[in-house]
Amino acid sequence: MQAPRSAEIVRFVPLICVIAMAAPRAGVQAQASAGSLSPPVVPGYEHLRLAGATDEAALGEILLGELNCLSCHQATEATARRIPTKTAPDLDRIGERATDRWLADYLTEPHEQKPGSTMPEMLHSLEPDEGQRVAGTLVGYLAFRGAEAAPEDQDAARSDFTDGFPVHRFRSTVERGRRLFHSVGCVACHAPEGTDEEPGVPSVPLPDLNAKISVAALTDFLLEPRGARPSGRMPPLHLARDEAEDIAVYLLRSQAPLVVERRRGFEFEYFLDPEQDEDVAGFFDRPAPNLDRAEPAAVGHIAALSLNLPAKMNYGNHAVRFSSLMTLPAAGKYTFTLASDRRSGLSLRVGEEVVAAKPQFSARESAADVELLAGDHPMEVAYFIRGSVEEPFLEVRVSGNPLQPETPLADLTSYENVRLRPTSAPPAPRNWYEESGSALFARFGCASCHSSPGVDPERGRSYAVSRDKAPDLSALDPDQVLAEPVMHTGPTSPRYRLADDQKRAIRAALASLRDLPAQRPPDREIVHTMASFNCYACHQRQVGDTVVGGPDAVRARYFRVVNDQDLGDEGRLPPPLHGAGGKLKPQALHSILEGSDLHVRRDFMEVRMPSFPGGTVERLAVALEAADASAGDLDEPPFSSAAADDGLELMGTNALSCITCHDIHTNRAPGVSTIDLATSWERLRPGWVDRFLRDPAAIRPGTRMPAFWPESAENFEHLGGGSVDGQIEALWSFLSLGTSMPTPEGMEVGSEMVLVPDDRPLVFRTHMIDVGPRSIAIGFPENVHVGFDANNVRLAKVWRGGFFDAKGTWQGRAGQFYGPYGTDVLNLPPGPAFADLEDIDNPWPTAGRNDRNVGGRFLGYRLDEQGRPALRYRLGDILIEEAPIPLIAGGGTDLIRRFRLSAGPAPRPLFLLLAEGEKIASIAERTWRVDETLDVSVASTADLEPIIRDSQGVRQLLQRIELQPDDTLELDVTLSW
Amino acid sequence: MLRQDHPTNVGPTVAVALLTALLLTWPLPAQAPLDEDDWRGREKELLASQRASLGSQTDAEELYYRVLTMPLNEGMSMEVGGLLQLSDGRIMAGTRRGEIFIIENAFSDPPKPVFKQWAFGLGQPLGLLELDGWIYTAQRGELTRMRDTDGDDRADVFETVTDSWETSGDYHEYVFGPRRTPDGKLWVTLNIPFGDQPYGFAPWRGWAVRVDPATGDTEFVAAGLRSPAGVEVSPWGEVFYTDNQGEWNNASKLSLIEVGDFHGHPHGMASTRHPDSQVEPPPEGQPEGGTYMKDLHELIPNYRMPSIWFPYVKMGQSPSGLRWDTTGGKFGPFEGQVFVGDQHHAMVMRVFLEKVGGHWQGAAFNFRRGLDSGVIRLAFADDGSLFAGMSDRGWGGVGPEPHGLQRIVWTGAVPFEVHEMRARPNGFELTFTGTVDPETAGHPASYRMESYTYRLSENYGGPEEDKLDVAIRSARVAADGMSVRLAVEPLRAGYVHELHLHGVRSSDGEALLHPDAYYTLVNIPAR
Repeated sequence: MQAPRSAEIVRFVPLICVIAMAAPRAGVQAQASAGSLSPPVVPGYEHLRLAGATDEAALGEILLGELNCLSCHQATEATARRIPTKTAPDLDRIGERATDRWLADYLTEPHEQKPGSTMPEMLHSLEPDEGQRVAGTLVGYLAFRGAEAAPEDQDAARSDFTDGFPVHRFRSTVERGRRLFHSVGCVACHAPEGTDEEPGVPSVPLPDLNAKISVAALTDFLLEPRGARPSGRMPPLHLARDEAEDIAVYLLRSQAPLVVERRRGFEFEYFLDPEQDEDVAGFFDRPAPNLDRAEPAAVGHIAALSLNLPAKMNYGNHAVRFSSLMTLPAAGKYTFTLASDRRSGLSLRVGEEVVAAKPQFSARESAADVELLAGDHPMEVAYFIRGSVEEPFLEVRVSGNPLQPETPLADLTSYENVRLRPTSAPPAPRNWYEESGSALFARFGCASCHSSPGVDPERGRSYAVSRDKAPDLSALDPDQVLAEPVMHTGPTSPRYRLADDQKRAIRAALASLRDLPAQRPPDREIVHTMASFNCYACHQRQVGDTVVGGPDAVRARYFRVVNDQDLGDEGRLPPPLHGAGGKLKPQALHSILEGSDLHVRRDFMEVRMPSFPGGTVERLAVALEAADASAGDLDEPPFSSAAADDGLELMGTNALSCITCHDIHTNRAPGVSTIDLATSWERLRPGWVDRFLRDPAAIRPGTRMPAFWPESAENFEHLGGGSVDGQIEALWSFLSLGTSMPTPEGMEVGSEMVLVPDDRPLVFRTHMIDVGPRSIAIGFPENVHVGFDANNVRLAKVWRGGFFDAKGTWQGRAGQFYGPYGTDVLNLPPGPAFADLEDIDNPWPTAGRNDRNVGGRFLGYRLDEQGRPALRYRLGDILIEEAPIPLIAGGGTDLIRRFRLSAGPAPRPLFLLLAEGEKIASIAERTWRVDETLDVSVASTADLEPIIRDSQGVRQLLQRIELQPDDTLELDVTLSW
Repeated sequence: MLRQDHPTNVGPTVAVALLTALLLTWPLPAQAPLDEDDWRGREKELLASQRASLGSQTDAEELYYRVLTMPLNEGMSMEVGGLLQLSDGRIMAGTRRGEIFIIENAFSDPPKPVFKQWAFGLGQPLGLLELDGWIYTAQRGELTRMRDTDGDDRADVFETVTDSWETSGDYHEYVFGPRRTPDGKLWVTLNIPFGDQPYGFAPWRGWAVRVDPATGDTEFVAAGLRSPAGVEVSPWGEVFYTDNQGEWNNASKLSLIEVGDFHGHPHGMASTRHPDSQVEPPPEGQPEGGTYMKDLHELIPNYRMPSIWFPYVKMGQSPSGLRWDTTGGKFGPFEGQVFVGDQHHAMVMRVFLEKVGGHWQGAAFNFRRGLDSGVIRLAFADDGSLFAGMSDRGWGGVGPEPHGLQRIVWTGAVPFEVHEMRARPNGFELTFTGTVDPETAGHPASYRMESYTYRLSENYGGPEEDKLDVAIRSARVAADGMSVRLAVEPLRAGYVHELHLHGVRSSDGEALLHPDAYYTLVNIPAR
């Protein structure tokens, strides 16, 4: 017994080798090298230059703004409005974002540290040791600023610098970060890595991040760059926190790891297949799930390639990804043998490439030969299974010189846990610098560009002496300016290292500025703003006869379609902005630029449209509309539900088949999946749609959208009067239903468990978020749906679009609360519809989570012949029937709440709560607008006069209803939102 | 009659081997309460061995009870939670997804059923009852009655009968029933919630309620239920229910419910102090973990001992729907006995009950294995066949299908089985479905018996405790060869007496189809 037991113990000793400092990985080396200092990179300017722009003055204006010239050189009011200053980074709490060493180096020689930086050299006149001392003092001062505000945060930031940021599953995190960095849009401006080719447009430089910043600080910065850089030139890309962290780890992967643990085995990620219902036809042989886009349910590490994961596993369909570093002893040809149970699929990726795969339902084994170099190779093994088998297993074996015989993959692999910390030395104590530091901050002109929160504004201004020293912009002699050594060589003058073409442009701008008004013409304003914010990185737009912008050939490769759908360049490259102001409705333009909504390509385009600050958006949107819009394009053609019905038929596969390629709300198109038509009405000007439908290629050259009426051929005579005009009007009428548009013929609707009320309403008992554990969700074919709380007897939610995903009710043990599967969610007041207030001054009853029957006793529901339900409840001696009824309307189908009240022998007066909000205003006969979001109108068989009251801090629109014994009353309340 | 002359004899041998295998793999009791998923992990290991030996066992059963499978329409989910034969003869099945189907042509052989969706979107209805032209069902949040007023085979009126209990939305808050007692009242049982502590916040969970269908008046009549998946009224009008093992119900059971009972689970105990409670609050509060259930009445006078304990794995793992055989012999020789489904083992068990010392108790036997999925509901049809509605969603199970509907039909051949097992002052009396071979049946060595009991505790499930071999002192065959008296020692009240009759043969030399019996001896009869 003894011997084998000790042998076992030996086997369990984990293979750990601790390496104090890992050899640097392949990655960015600091690019600084003396003697080859790049001029400041202003990418929008570069795009215009590349396109052959010749208006030197306009180019110069861009540089004047982007280089913050007007921060020191006072300009006339008109000029200052014409050229908004970019503004420099906010240095508040910079000590949490940058190490002292890096800051000091950067202050001393910004262009060596960050070639192409727009930060000018300020300490260039000082002797090296003096420069070091000044920089050191400034660093101490900067680090101190803002520190008082949150000493704990500072401590936390310090510990990120000293102890390092723990990264588990280092390799897979780096890989995820690499994929994100090269797909979401970072490389539209910054340099892509892993290629020797130089992008056509100079890249926005990155500093030596390894020396500068911690993973935590970089993650925060990526999530909201405008905190530290209010200019918005670095825009947020709608990253989730873990995405931002993955990118940060990727960018900082070469930082000095505090400890590198290498352990034999793999990192693993365990995924639940989003498809769990095995009843779906073709379920078992669908393609493998895309794990790059899936959220792992569990992660961890494991010594062997095994499905016996040390994690909580469910029994549903699942996938596991194992990742590791594979260390090969020699270069040569290796044979990988993949084996797994028959029902599962297995694939092996080495580096960027999938080198071997074993499909589902194939033989148990599959082998592939690969030529590989000696050394470490990142690798991934992905396993997925649908359905269950008696003994699931997987195995990967490797053979090849000198691995004879076959070796289990696990014997060659190891994973790493690291802590990343900046390569610079930890900070020194510093608050004693404050006094002299603040003086230097002013003396060397820092305060001119960098706003100074945390410093007494009065003191800050008096220190900002350099502003006084710089001549006014209008006083500069265009011929002399920037002509070194005459200008910008003084001891505290900024040195930009401008290129000759940049100087030429600035001089031209200065020469022309005096005569120019505060406002540019719209077309020039568009160019100026698009260049300043580098919209040209992704978007093309015509300037005169030339097309400016768009990703250059090297960068364009990184723009991809999700899941490799076949959508051509149209599907992967952001759209050109020719005529964009004439295409989009003004609100839509704002919404897209501010990043809040309507990014209709995000479902299939990997790159993400960032958000831009409000003021800029305003300027650009106004200019775009002024430059591009045609008169009358916003006029809505007449709406009729008959036209919308024709439109529905035209969209379907029996007519124009629009839905072959276009999604509708949550429903995917059966062919390729492109722009959701449910957003069309909200986004597009009707006039533009009319022109586009008639000849798509004329408006969007090269589009895959076909022309439907070639040579005015008239098809489908029964629809839209058989004419092109009528059919376009019918299509627009349908589009104007927005997310409540019904589903056209031929559309595959949702997943197996998404409920689709296609011909009859669906009444579905479930539990819903913000409705309650006893919810009745009612879906209508008109795609307006409601959620009713049967406990408190109240209509709680109304929404448009998709109805409800039954997964939370039907899958597994169920019991999950889901929200609506659609959009345009309208939440009704928290209390019931009716109450017996007794006194008009009494508050409206509200219902707690465990309360029931607050708005009456729920009695059930009845379905009419079309299956439309009427909910029934009794309050006091009054029986109330409430039927929700969709009302087709352009701009989105509305909802009628049709009430029928029947009194018994002894009814008491009731109040009906029509609406609740901050603001309620009468806008028409029996119609009120609530908080600018909801219109409520009332129609009744009786003569009713609603009242508005303030109660419990809200405004309420109430109707008092007094019924005589055995009397009935009918009442329609129409909600339009 | 049918092939009775050459029965297959492999069944018993395999069953014994299987049992041995199961005993060997029985998991040790845990130190700390297990969560449900841990427990399932252990179950999984047991499953493989069970599956391996199923085939031959069910082949033998098929000779006596055929299982006919209703083919389902493409994409249909038939996770049956409610099942009955309508007064017009058609079958009605309600599903866990909330659909109710009317099934026509269900009696064809081979089955060619036609499914009509009668209702959609109910909240996990887990029972069906036809009464005065209405269909009653228990949904999560209410007892509901429904009817089709225009004769298009679609329900169009849905009325709330009572919503006097609450639901917090926890997945485990299932509601079962209703069943109707002769006084016209409807009984519904309410699951406790389950999950991370503290779980659930609704009162009355783990209670049985009694509803007057005319007024909706609801009484809260019994507490301490855990997962009461089956509720049924006996032919003599008393209410019985099955409960799934877990925490505070450490062995699955069949139990009588009477007004005022406490069944052991402390979850809903706070509600006993509610003015509407018809259950006396336990004087000492929550029972202390670790007490033998047989001794609990000393601490909690209204604690109800079960009628049957179903030993874990040996007799299923999740007892569910149950029905008394009132077919008048159309379903074979077991008229008057109870058939109980098991959601995990995809099987139907058989229970014989007798009243001893005022307490219903008796024996459980295997009956029919190898169904397609976990059995949730059983329903006898008027032709004497037994419909089984199935679903193993969320818990997994032995059968190959995730859900389905099957029909068990007696072939007319009488299996050689223990028919009844009655307690006697010094042992048990066994009756058989056929005459026994006096030689083997009269020999004590043909039998083996052991006894054990269970503690009540917060652990998830519980081991067989205080286990003892029981000696078979004598086996006396009656003159007609139809019964045997066993004198055994010791006979312990409050213990399951597990009997193996591996050596007993029929007068034709046939072995028992199911040679194991599990008698829950709560009371020892005086004579």
